[in-house]
This record gives sequence, structure tokens and C-alpha cells, in this order.
Amino acid sequence: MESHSHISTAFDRDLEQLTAKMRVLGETAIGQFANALDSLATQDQDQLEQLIAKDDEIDDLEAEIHEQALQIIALRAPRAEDLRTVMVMMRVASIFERIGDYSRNIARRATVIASVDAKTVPSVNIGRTGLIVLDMLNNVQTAFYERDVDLAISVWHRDVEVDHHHTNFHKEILATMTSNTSSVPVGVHLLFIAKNIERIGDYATGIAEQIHFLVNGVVPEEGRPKADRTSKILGV
Amino acid sequence: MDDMAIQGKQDIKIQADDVRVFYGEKQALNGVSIDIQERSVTAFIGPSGCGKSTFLRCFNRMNDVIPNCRVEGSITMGDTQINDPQVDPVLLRARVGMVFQKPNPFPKTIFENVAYGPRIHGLVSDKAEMENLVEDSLRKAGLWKEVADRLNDQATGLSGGQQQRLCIARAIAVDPEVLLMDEPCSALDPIATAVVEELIADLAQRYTILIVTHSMQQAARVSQRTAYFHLGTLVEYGNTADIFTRPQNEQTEAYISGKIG
Repeated sequence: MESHSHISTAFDRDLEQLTAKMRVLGETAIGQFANALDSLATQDQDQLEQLIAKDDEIDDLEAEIHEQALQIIALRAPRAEDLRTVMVMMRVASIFERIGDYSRNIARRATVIASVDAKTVPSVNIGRTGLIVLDMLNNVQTAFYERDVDLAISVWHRDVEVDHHHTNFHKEILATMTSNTSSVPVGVHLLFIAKNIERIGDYATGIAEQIHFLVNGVVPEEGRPKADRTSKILGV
Repeated sequence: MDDMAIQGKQDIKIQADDVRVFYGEKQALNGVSIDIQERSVTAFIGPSGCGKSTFLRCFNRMNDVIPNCRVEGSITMGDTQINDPQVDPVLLRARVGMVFQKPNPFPKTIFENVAYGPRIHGLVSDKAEMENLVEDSLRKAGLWKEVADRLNDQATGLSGGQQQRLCIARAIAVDPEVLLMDEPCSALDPIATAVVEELIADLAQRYTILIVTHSMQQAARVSQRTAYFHLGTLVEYGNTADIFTRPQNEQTEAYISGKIG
């Protein structure tokens, strides 16, 4: 169906512009998350500052997409797949904006961690979960533009993997903080960073659901798989 | 779609089964089967020549007046087989009223336009009863307040939107069960269109309404169910909200999205 053009060429042009802007927003937000993960390892202060400053670009892009979508609804009265496309673009734009916010939060905490004595930083591998989530984001980005529901659903199922990693990481950091209290100030930041990464995984899953809705007109029938147990952990 | 029946709580008012219409040798409608829900608005949409108006005219035998036109299949309304030659089309048209594209009031007074139908069908016995019926019909058509003090003026002096509502009052004066509307707003300005659309929503509480429209936005605004026709075939029939958000058929999708097939 996508190969069919609208009789109104202006409508096609509007949708193309909206899609192009969405692509930039998605790439920027995913790039921010990749840089946040990278800076956790490198602790490069310049990179962290640039990353924090760039969040404004994402906010502006989201606002522009919402404005363009509003105009398309008002002026072109989109229907069926066109309507779903515009609605999904608005929703996904907001999701990417939140991913940008979480990436900025990770960068802010990474800035604090970079300023303390390395001996007080718990030796845990937070990047592993981050790379899974980054892979999920790259896949939903591809699935979105190729209308690839199978790829989207495979991302949707990976959220469980992220939840398992997050639960294990939570236990690990808690154990470190319990045995070495000097690691608590940084450990708390790491717990928040881990939660941010886990939430970004949820957002990737949310985008996957939107792709399913965009193509099929309904969200996936089965409930979203969940395995985050951190809210039930009291101690080690 | 194999099953064009709509699941719903409402009763079925009309059942059309394998309706075929021919103009001479040319087949204009290819075996259309559809259930029409009582007291709701059903919109027929589709490109010009798709058969939607032809199908609409089947419900009150208006195709009878077209030379060489032949209707086959069955249309059932209650105990009545609409295509049964025993059915008197004049009586049928009192039960199944029609409103046309262009307002077509009689060249008579406003009062006489509404009183004409009840009079020829012998629905009232005296003047007072007729006055009540005319007022009631004009109220139901949302026109009473605008014409109450000039019932003896010529109907042709009314605005286009008022004339169309007068035609609706004329149709409902004979107490029909079904109202057929063939592009009832295409000759009206946007404000008059909005008034008639609001009236259609109100009338649907009492009558079963079938409307043919070229305006997809109008179909979306006024109807609960939509049937999409293409080249004489019923392609898709469903709840209007579903048809306009997630149509199942690619032809429907292309048409309602304004795409070149």
C-alpha cells in the first residue's frame, strides 16, 4: 500500500517531511544514548557536557513533529494507515524525547561518578545491559522505516532479557554497597543509571508496539512480557 | 469479505441478499448482501459509477421508473419482500422515504409541501390534526422555528438548506420507517450541511437512515456503519470507526486515503 501515491501531492510531501524529521529525531536520541553509554566508560567530561547540551535539540525536534502532525490532521484529514502513521509518529516522537531525557540523566550522573575517587566506584558491568538496549533501539528504528513487524516483535520479546539483566545488576550493586559502605554514594547513582537504561528498554518495547499498531491497526494481543523483579528486592 | 453481517446489539431492519441490478445487458450491481441495522445511519461510499446510488434506489423501488432497469435478489424489510410485484411502490415509498441531492419542494406553500403526503395517504381526518402533523414534522426536521410564522409562503422562497429540511419534513410526515438520502448536502453550503447532519443524527433515533455521500468526512461524521462499493461490488462493510481507522481491504484503504490505485 505504501507504494501508492496520494492524489494530493502536497499530502505526500507533508508525510515525507514528517517522516524525515522523525528519522533525524530517532537517530539523534539513539545517538545520545550510545554516547551516554560510551561516556560511562570513558568518563570524557567534554563528551558528557556536549551530550547534556544536545538534549535541547531533541526537545525542539519533538515540538516540530507535533506541530507538523497537528497541521496534517487539520489540513489533510488523514484516514486509515495515514491516520495511524501520523498518530504513531506523534507517540514515537514523545518516546524518543523521553529516551533523550534519560540519556541526559545518565550523562549527568556519569559526570558525578567521573569526579570521585575511582576506588569508591563499584566494579560492575552496567554497559552490558546498555548494549542490549542500544541494539533494541537500532532494531526498532529499522523496523519503523521498513514496516517490519517481525523485527519489532523480536525487540518486544527482548525486554524480558533486559529485565533479567537489570534485576541481576541491582542485586550485584546492592551486595557491593552492603559489603563496602564507601561505595554507597556512587552505587546509588549507578542504581539510577541502571533504572534509566531499563526504562529505555521499555521505551524500545513501546515503539515496537507502535510499529505493530501502525502496520496491523492493533497493538500486540498478548500482554507485554515483564521480568523486572527489583521492586521486590529488600536486601542481599 | 465473506460475511458482511455486522455483529451488534441493534435489530436488523433490512436484509439485502444477493441483490443484482441490470441496465439492459449491463450489470450495475453484482450480488450485494448486507444487513441494515435499525435506527442507525448507514453510509454508502465509493467512486462515481460504483453502484451506491443504484443500490440505494433498490430500497424503495425507485429503479422501477428507469427504463430497462431490472432488479434481482431479495430485500426484506420486516414481513415485506420489497421486490415482490405485489408490493405497491407508492405505499412502499411512504414507509421508505427519500431525500434527493437537490432540494425539490413542490411549487406550493410550505404548509402544503408537508401536508401533501399525509393527505394523499389519508393519514389525517381533520384540519386540526393536519396542522398538528405539519407542525410536528417541521419540528422533527428542525425547521419549525424558522417557518412557523410563514407557513403560507411559497416553499421555493426558502434558502437551499431550509428547502432540504422541508423535503425531510415532507418525507417524515407520512411516518416512514426508513429514510433514504442521496447526497442530501451536496448542494448546500457548509453551515447548512452541518445543520442537516445534526438533523440526521437526531432522526436516527426514530428512523433507519441510509445515506449515499461523496464526502467521506460526512460519512465519518454522520454514520455508524459504512459500506464501500467499487465497480458494482460491495467491497467492505463495517463500523464506520473501523473503516476509517483500520480498513481490512486494500481497495477501501486506497479510496478513503485518496490514493491512486
